[in-house]
Amino acid sequence: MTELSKLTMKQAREGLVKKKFTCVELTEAFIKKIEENRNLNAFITETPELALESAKISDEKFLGNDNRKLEGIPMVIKDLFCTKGIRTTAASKILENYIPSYESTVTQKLSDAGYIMLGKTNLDEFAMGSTTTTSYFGPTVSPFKHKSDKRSLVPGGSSGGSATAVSANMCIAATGTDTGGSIRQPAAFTNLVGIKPTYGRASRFGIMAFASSFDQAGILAKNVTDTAILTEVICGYDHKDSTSLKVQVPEFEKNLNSDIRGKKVGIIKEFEGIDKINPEILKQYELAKKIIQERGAKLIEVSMPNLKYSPILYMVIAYGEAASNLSRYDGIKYGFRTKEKVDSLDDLYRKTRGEGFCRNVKKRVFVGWNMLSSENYEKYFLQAQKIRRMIFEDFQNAFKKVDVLFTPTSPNEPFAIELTKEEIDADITSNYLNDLFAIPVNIAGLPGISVPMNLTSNNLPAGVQFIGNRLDEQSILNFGLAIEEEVK
Amino acid sequence: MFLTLEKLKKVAEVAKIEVKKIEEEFFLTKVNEELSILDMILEVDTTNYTPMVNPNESTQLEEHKDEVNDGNNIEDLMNNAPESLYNYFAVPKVIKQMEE
Repeated sequence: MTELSKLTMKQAREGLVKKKFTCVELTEAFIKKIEENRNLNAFITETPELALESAKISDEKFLGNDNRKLEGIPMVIKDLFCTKGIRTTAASKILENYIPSYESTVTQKLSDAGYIMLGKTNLDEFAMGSTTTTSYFGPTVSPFKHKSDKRSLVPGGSSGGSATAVSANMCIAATGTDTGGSIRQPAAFTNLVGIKPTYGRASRFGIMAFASSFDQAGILAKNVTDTAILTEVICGYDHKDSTSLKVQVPEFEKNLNSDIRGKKVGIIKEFEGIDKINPEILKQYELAKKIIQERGAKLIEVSMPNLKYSPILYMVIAYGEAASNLSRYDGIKYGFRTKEKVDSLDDLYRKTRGEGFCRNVKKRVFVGWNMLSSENYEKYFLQAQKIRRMIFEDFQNAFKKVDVLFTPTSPNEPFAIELTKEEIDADITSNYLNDLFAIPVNIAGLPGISVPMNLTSNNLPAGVQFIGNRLDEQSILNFGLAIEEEVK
Repeated sequence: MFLTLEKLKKVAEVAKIEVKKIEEEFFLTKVNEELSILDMILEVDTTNYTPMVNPNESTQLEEHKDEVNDGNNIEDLMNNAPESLYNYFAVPKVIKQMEE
C-alpha cells in the first residue's frame, strides 16, 4: 500500500471508506511527517492534538455512515485565515499572539465538510511577497534542491508554507490566498497544482486583508482532481463578504473532462519572446504547447497590449488598498503594542507599527499611502484604475476568440533563499518578474490555475498557467487535467 | 516620481509608522526604487475610461436587518487586548500639561 502520507485525497477517501486505515492512523502519519520536516519551517502553529481529536470524531462518523465530503482528510491552512481559538498571525510580529474569536468562512466550510486541520502555515508577512522569506517566523524552505547547487531554495510565496507542506507530504492539501500570484507561483515552484478561483467565488470573510479588490482564497494540492474537489468545497456565496458572488458552484469534480479537442487556447503575443524567461521554463512551456496541440486543441495568438502595465497597476492599486487595510493594526484592542515609553496616542501608533511590521510591509504601506495622497490620487491611483478597466477589456476581447489563455506560471525557476536577503526590496524588476504572468489575472478577477510540467534539467519544478473566463474554473481544471495526464 | 526625505517623513506620519534616523536612507532608496517605474502609466490615454474599482462591478450590495447576531464574547475579545481593566481596553496615560 502507498505510504499513507503520499496518498492523494481521492485515494485517502477511498481508503477510509473501505476501512483500509482509520482517520486517526492517517492523521498520525502526517503528524509524523511534520515532525520529521521541521527544518523546512513550513508551520507557524502546529495543531496535532486538535487534529487527533477531530480524527477520532471523523472515525465515528465513518462508523455511523455519516461521513461528509472531506471526512478525515488532513489539510493545512495558510496563517492568514482566521481560525477561532487558534493563533492566527499573518506571519507578523504585530499579530504574534492574536487568537481570533471567529472563523473564516472558507475554513468553516472545510470544517463543515469534516476536514482535519494539522496546523497554520508560514507565509510572507501579510501575504506581501513571492518567496516566503519575509515572515517574522523565519523563511520556509522548499523540499526541492537544485541538481548541483545545494543551497536551500525558496518555495515561492506568499503561500510558501502551504506549498512546502503539501509538496513534502506533510498534508494532503492546503488553502492559500492569491493577490498577485501567491497560490499559483508557489505551486509552480513546488510541483503542485494551485488554483485561484474567480474573484468573488470564495468568501474573503475572515481572511486578513491585503488588497481587497485582488485577494482571493484558493487551493494547493497534488493533482487536478483533488484541486477540483476542494475548490467546490471552499466556493459559494457568503453574505458576510460584500464582494461574494451569488452564483451556483458547479460540480467541478464530476464535470472534469480532459478532452480538449476543438478547444481554442490563446497565446498572448506580448508575453511571447520575453527574454527574461528562464530557458528551462521556456522549454517546459513549449513542450506544454505541443501537448495541447497533440490533444486536439488549437493555439491562437491574441494581442493584449495593456498587460505590460500590470506590475505598475499592482503597485499603485494593491499597495494603496493595503495601506488602508493595515491601518487597523494599532496596538489598541489586539495585537502587539510597543513597550517603549510614549508621549501621545500617535506616538503609541507610530512605535507599535514601526516595531510590529517588517521592512517589506512598511515599504509597501509608504508607497500605498503616497498613491492615495491628494496630489497623487487622481494622477496615479485613478489613472491606474482606468487602465485596470482597459486590461479587463483586453481579456474580454481575447475570450471572444479563445476558451482559455495559456502562459508560463513564473518566468523563474526556484532560486536560493540567500539571494533574497538583500534583494527582496532591491531588484524590483525581478520581484515583479516573479509575478509577471500571474498579476494580470488578479487585475481582471479571473480564475487561474498552475499545473506542473516535467522537472527541469536542474531537477526543479516548472509550472504552466491556464487563465479562464470569468466563472469558468471548469475549463482551466479540464486543461490542467489534460496536461497532467501527459506529464505523469 | 521621486520622494524627498521630507515627503517620505510626511507619508510615514500619515501611515503612523515610525522611521528611525538609521532607517531613513533605506526606506528612501527602496520606496523610490518602486516609484521609479510609475510614470509609465501616465503615457496611457484613458480618455473615455472610467475607473474600475472592483472586478465584480455588477455585484449588488445587500442590506441586512439591523439586528445583533453575534457578540457576548467579551472574554474572547479581552484576551487579545494588550492591556485591559474591568473589561475596558487600557491604554497608556498621556496627559499633556497645559501651557500657561
